[in-house]
Amino acid sequence: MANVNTTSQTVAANEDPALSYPSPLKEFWSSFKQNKGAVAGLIFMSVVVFCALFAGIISPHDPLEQYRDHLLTPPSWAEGGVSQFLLGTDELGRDIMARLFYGARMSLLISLMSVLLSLIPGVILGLLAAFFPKVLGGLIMRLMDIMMALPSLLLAIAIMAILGPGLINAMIAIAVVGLPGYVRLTRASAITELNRDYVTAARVSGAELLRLMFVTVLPNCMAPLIVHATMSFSSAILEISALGFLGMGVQPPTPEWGTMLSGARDYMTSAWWVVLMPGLTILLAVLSINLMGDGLRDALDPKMKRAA
Amino acid sequence: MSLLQIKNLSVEFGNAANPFRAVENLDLSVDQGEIVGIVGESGSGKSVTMMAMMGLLEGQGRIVADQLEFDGKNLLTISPKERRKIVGKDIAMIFQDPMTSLNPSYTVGYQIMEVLKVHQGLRGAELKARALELMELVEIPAAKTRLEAYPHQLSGGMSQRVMIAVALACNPKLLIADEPTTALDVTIQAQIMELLVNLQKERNMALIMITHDLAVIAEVAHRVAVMYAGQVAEEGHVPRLFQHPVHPYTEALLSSIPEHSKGARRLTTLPGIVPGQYDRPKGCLLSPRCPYVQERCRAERPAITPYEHGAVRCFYPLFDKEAQ
Amino acid sequence: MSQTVLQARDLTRHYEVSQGFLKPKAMVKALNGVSFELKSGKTLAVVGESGCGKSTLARQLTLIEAPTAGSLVLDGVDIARASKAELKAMRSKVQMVFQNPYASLNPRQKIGDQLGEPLLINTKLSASEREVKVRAMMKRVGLRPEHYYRYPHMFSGGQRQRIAIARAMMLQPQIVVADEPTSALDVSIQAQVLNLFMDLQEEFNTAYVFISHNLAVVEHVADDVMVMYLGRAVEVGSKEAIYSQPLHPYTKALLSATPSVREEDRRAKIKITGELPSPLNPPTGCAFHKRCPFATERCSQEVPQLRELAGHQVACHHAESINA
Repeated sequence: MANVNTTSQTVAANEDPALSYPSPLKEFWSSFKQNKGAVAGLIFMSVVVFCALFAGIISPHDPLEQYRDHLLTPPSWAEGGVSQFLLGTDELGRDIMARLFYGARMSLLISLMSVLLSLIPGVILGLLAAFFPKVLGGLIMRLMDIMMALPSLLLAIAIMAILGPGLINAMIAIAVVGLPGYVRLTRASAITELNRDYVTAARVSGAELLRLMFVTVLPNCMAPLIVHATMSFSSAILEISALGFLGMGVQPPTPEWGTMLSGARDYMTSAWWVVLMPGLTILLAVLSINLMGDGLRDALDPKMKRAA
Repeated sequence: MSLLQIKNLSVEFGNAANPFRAVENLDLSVDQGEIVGIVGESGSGKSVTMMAMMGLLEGQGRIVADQLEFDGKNLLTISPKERRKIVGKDIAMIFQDPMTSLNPSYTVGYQIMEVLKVHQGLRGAELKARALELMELVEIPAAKTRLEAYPHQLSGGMSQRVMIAVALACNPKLLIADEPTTALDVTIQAQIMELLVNLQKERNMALIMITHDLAVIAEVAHRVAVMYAGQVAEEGHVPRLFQHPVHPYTEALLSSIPEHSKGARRLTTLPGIVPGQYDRPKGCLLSPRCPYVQERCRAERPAITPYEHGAVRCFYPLFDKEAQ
Repeated sequence: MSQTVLQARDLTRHYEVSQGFLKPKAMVKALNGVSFELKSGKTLAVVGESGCGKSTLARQLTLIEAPTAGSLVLDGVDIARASKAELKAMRSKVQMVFQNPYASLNPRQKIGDQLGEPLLINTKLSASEREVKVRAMMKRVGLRPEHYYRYPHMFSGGQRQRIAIARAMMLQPQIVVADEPTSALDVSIQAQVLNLFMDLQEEFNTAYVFISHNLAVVEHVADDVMVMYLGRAVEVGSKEAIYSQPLHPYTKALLSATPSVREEDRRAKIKITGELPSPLNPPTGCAFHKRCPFATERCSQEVPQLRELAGHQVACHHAESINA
C-alpha cells in the first residue's frame, strides 16, 4: 500500500515541468511555513529575543530596583494590582516584567551557549567514534559511559568545583553534562548511515574523511540531533537555575528565569504570580523552541518536501 | 464451483475527493488443486488484491465487489469473527521476506505450536508431535532440534520452510504465496518451489503465487493473470499465454526478459513507467506506453473480454500475430 | 584490440570476527584466492549465491579495502606498490553501481550535486564546467534537465539506478563494478537499465565486472563468466562455453535451478540438497562436496584447484568423469 503511494507521487513529481528552482533559503522557508506550530514558535521566540535585545528601552522599570512600598503586588488585572506593575512585583518589590525582559538575555544566552558547547564537540566526538570504531571509538564511548554513570547535577557541581564559580564555567559545566547524549546519538545514527551504499559510493568516488564525515554522513543524522538539541535547550535553563540555587550559577540579584522561579518557591501559596510568570515564560519558550525544532527537522528533510 | 471467486473487485485508497484505485474491476477465480499465478510489476496491485480478499485492509481501503466468495462463504458480508476463522485456517499466506515474518523473540517450535493451539485446540504431547510432523513435512533436517531454534539461527531458506509449516498447520484449502522465493538464492529458490508444488499436489490445495518473476510462474502455474496498474491485463493458461500473449503488455513483458533476446545486444523494452496515482491516462492504462496504440485506446478504457484461451483487456488484442 | 585493464592474482581477503567475549576470534575467509583478467570494453560476470564472496570481491576491486593477500594490477600499476597519489588517481578509474537504488543515493543531496561530487573531488573544474558535464551525462542516461534540482526520493527505482549509473560514469572510469544492479528492479525496468549499461559500454569502452545471481541477465551481458562458491572461483570461461557446456556440478546446478519462461530453454533439473554452508565454518576439501551429487571421498579431503579443461577452467576433481 505505502509502496503504491510512493510510486505514484514519484510519477507526479516527474510530470512537474518546473525547470527553475527556488534558492535554498526560499525553499527552506516555504517548507518551514507549512508547519503552523513551528511558525507560532518562531513568532513567540522572536518576541522574546526582541524583548531581550531591547530590554533597556521597553522595560518599564529597572530590574534591580526594589520598590519597598510594593512588596508582592499582584498583577495589574488582579485584585489589589497596580497599573504601575503590569505583572506584579516579587518579594523584594522588583517589577516582574522588567526582570523577565532582562532575564531573557541571560537565559537565552546560557541555554544557547550550553547547547552549542555540547552539540559541536558532541557531534565531532560521535562522528569520530563512528568512523574509528575500534580504538578511538571505544575510548570515547567508555569515557561517555563514565560521564553518564554520574548523576548529572553532581557532575556539574564537580566541574564547577574544579573550574570555579562563574557564568561561563556554569555553561561549560552544563555543556559537559549534556555531552554524552549528543555523542551517543550522533554515533548511533552515523553507524547506521555508514552501512548504506551511498557512503561507499562517496568513498569510491574518492571522498576524503572530512568530506565523508561532514558532507556525506552528518546531514543524514540531523533529525534526532535537532530534536535532542531543542529538548536540552529547556533543560539547560532549569539546570542553570539549579546551579544558581546552589550558589554556583547566576548570582542574585542578576535576573534570570530559572533563578526567578526557584527563588519564588516560598511564595507559591501566597503570591501565585511570582511563580507563575517566570514558570509560564519558561514553559512557552521551551514549547516554542521544541515546535521550531520539529519544523526545522521537517524543513531540512528532503523527504518531507513535495516536489517543488 | 470455484473455491475462490472474485468478480469486479475494486480497492480504493485515499479520500473521496482524491481516490486512488489500487485495484480496478478485477475478476479472478481459483479452483481446488489449481496453481494460479499473478504476475505484475511493483505497484500493480497484486498484493493489495490478496489483502483485500482476506480483509486485511480494514480501515485503509474501500473494497467494492460484485462477488467475493471463498468456499461458498461471502467474504463481503461475513462478520470479522467468522472471517478470522477462515483467514489463517482455510486461507493461509506466506510472505516475501521470511526473516521478518517470524517473530524473533520466540522459538520456531513455539510459533508453530501457537497456531496449532489457536486454530486446532491441540494440547500437550499431541501438539508437540504435530509440530514435529509439520517440520518434517517441509523437509527441515534435524527437525527435533530445530524446534528449539530461534529465527535468527536459521537461514533464509530454512525460515521460509518454517513459514510454510506454519501456513500448513491448519490444512488450508488455499495457500497464498506472496513472492515466496524473491529473497532467496537460486538453488534455495528451486528447493522451495519444488516443496511448494509437491505439497500443493499432495494436499490438493489451491495455490496462488504472486510474483514478478515470469519464469517461476511459467514453470509451475496452471493459469496466470497478468496485472498492470491495478487491472488484470490478460488471463490465460500456461504455457499458452507465454507462447502466444495477446495483450500488448504481456508481450512487452515477455520480450523484455533477457532470455527472449538471446544474442541481441539490446533488449526490447517498454518505454516509460507504470502510471501512478496522479497520471492515470483517461483511456486504456497502457495507452501511453503501448506500441500498438490507436485513437480509441486513448479515449476509452477497454473491458476484460473472454476469448477462446482466456480473457484479455484490450481493444485490439494480438490475435493476428498468433496466426502468423 | 582491447587491452587488459585489470589483473587479479590470488586475491584473498580474510576477516576477523569476534565470537563473543573471551572466545578466540574466528577467521572468515570471504575471498580465497581469486584470479582473473579484465579487458577494456568487455564484461566479466561474477555469479554466485549469498556468501560466495561477490561483494567482498567488489570491495577489493573498488579499492575500498586492501586485500589480505594476492595482487591487483590496475592499468599496469600494482595496488600494493602504489603511492598515495597514485592510489587516489586509481580510485577514479574504478567506479561502482550498487544493488539497492534506494540506499545508494544520498537522500540529502540534490541529484546535480551528487553527480557533480566525483568531479569536485577529483578534478579542478569550476562549478559551471561541472554543471555542464553533469547535465550532459544526465541527458546521456535519459534523465530530464529539471531532475538536476531534485532529491533522490522523488524518483522511481529505475530512475534512481540511472542516476547511480550516471554518477559512476561521471569520471569516465575504465572499470565499473556493478553489484546486482538490476535485481531490485521490475522486469521491464531491468531491461531499460541493462540496455543503458550496454550502450554506455559501447560508447566509453568501459570494462564491467557484473556481479549477479541472475543467470538469465548474466547470459545477456557477459563476455566471460566466473562462477564462485564460498570465496573461490569454481569455474571460469567464456559465456558461450559455460552456458553451452558447464563442467562444474555447481554451475550445472545453478543453471538447472534457474527458471525459464520457454520450455525449450529449461535444463534437466539437478537436485542439490542442503543449505549454503557458512563461510565461518566451511567444509573441508571442496566446499561444495556436501551438496554435490557426485562427491567422493577425495572431495572431502582435497581442495580442487582451477585447471584447464575443454577451453575453460574448472575446479573439480571429477570434471572429466562427470562430463564424459
